[in-house]
Order: sequence, then C-alpha cells, then structure tokens
Amino acid sequence: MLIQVKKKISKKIEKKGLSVMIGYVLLITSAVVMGSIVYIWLESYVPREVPQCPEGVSIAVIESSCVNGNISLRLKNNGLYNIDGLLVRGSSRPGQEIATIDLTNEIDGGFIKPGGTGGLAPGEEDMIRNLSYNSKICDAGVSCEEKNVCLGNNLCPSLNHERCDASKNGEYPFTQKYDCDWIGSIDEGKCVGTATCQDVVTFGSGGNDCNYLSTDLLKICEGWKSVNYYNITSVEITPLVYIKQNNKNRIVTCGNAKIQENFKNCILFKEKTSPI
Amino acid sequence: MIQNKKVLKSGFPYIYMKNNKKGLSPVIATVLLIAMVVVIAVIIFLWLRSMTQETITKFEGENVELTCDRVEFEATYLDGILDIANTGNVPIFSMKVEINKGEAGFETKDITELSSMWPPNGLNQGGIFSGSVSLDSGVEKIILYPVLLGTSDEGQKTYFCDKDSNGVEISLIAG
Repeated sequence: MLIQVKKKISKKIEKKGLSVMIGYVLLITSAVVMGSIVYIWLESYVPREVPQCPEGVSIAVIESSCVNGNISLRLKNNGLYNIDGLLVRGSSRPGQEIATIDLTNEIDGGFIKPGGTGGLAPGEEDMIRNLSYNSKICDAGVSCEEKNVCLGNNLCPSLNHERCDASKNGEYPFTQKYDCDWIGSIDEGKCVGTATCQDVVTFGSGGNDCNYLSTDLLKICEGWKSVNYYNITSVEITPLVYIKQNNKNRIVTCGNAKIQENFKNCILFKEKTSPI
Repeated sequence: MIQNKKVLKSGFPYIYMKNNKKGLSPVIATVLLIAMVVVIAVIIFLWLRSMTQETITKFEGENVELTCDRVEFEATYLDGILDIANTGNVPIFSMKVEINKGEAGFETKDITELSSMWPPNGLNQGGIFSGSVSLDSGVEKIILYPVLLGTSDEGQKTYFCDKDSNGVEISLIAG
C-alpha cells in the first residue's frame, strides 16, 4: 500500500516537469519578443552601406584658356578609376574661397560628362569647351555689369616679331603691355602668350588698341562691343564617379579630388543686343 | 489531522487531495502575473514612446541622426555675402543660422529668413548657394548647421542636425 502511494506521489512530482518546460518556453518567447521589439526600435540606427568615392580618383588640368567669353579646359584623368562627371564652379570675387558660379549651365543635370559613354578612363584626356556666360547667375545675385569689351580671340599668335615685341613692351602702335613674347629666331620663331583681345582695356575717342587690332590689316580682334559680364578668377573642378550599390549606379562626389585652376583677366560675357 | 491522513478510494491520502485543489491557483497566478507584466510593459512602452522623438529616416531606412554625420559642406561669409557649397553626397534641405552677438545673446534663424536666394529644394550634391545676408554690426560669429529632409510615419519631415557636431562656425571678428 505504501509502495503504491509512493509511486503515485513520484508520478505526481514528475508531472511538474511539464511546468518547467512551460517556464522555458515562456522565457524564450518573452526574450524573443523583447529582442524583436528592441531590434525594430533600434533598427534605424544600424548604419547603411553608403557609396563613397574611392581613393585614387584624380584629375589634372593640362591646358586652360579663357578666350572671347569662353573657358576651355583640357583635363586628364591621372587616377585609377573612370571619371563619370565633373562639377565645374567658378569664383568671381577676389578672396572668394568657395566657387559659387555654376559653369556647367546645368548640362546633364548639373554636371558635365567627360570622355565617351563610359566616362573618362584612366590616362585619357578630354577637352571641356564652352563654359560660358550664364544669365541665371545674374539672377542668383552675381553682379553682371555692363562694359565695353574688345571681342576676339588670342592676340599673340597673329603678331609678327616686330608687333610681338611692341605688344610686350607696350610700344607704338600698342598703348598697353600684353602677355606676348617672341620665341625662337626672328625668321622662324613665333609669338606666344596668354593675351587675348579682352585684355585691351583702353577705350576712348582717340586711338586705341582694339581699333588698331580690328582693322583690315590685322583683323585679330572684332572691335568693341557692349556686353554684360562677370569675372572669373578661378575654376574648381570636382570629379564624380558612379558607384554600384544594390544593382543601382549612384553618382558620388569626390570632394577630396577637387582641383583649382586660376585665371587672369578672364571674363565671361554676353553681347548686348544693341552694339555701340 | 487524523482526518487528513484518511485514505481515499483512489489510494491518495486526503491531505494530497486537499493540496491538489490548490494546483489551479498557481496557473491563474502565473497567467495573472504574465498579463500584468505585459500590460505594464505596454504602458511603459507607450509612455516612453511619447517621450522619445519620432524616428526620421533617410537613405533606405537609415536614421537621419546617422545621416547628419555624413553631411559635408563649406561656408564663408565675406563682404555681406554668404557662400555655401554642399561638398558631400547628402542633400541639404535647409540651413539653420545661429547669429551670436556675444554677451547680447544669440538668435537662430532659418536661411530662408535671411535670404530669398536659397533654392526651394535645398542643395543637392555639388549644390552651391551664394546670397546677400545682412547682419548687425555686433554679430561676433555665426554657426550654420544643416536641416535634412527625411521620412517618418507621418510622411516627410525635417530634422535639425546637431549644431556642435555637424555645424560650421564662421567668426566675424576682424583679425
């Protein structure tokens, strides 16, 4: 009888094992639920993979010019990656640290696509032309003043030895000094320099360089024209590259690879409708 | 006591039978306990939720607080003109400007209050702003900090990045 009772008691005690299991299940379930709540709450704080500009993106200006209201830049990709876009910004005020004039004229959504369809490959060069006057800049606070400008292209290559020396020294028939210099022998040399017709600053009723340079004899410049203009003291070029993320190409700015090219006497202008 | 020791037909002493009756109450107690814990947890959760800021996300669910750390911009103030360039890859929707007048205190304004030139959609990557901003002569410095546009449960919302860690300070004291 006692044995029978003992067996039944032990059987009864064994049944308590089930409640231990329920305890575990409840414990695990509550832990999972709490973990899920905390995960959902903090999930947004998990940093996402962000496309970044790879190190080794680099660009260089091989040649630059600012002639007749247009800036041209010959650029070389001297980095390790394709360059898919370029932000080109200009500064117009002396001492301006941030270039705020958009010279791309909002081509292709605000940036220039250099090179072919695949961008500018490492080692490749490309000429960026016609970075010109943008009237939107005037609406955006840049002072687009009026002035008379001697229109035309480079001055030096059209000058012979005698005139090249005269322009360099500001001697007759020139009334000011220009950045022109004769290189080589008198017979086989050439006049080189950065001077353009826009460097002609004198303008008056008397004789002036632009009139002289525009005569049938020389035809280097096109003569005086009234224009709206703004100065460009320097140009900042920032490369952009496409980075693939989640099967999508994302354009990334490479601020660390930004370069600057300084200009002297560079004006971008638009001819006024009524010439003087 | 003698009665308790009475053995029933089932073979169990009466004492166990009486104790078995109490077996139900631990289950009820456990259920009650769990229910109370759940209710209290829900109450605390809702209470804390109302105290914490609503989550604003950007870029595939990333918290905008983290995005603020990736904002890169340059700013200068020269001859009454404020220049700002977004040099990073995060669009800047707006800009807060704290105008500090030294001992006279400071005031914080939105960039749109100071200049009408600010683009309505903000500065995208590579975006630039240049506008005339007139400040009083007593201003010692200005601090610019970005405002980002993110999404929340209620739709698009702006988020002010932290002034100290994401702001740019421009000193206006000569020399």
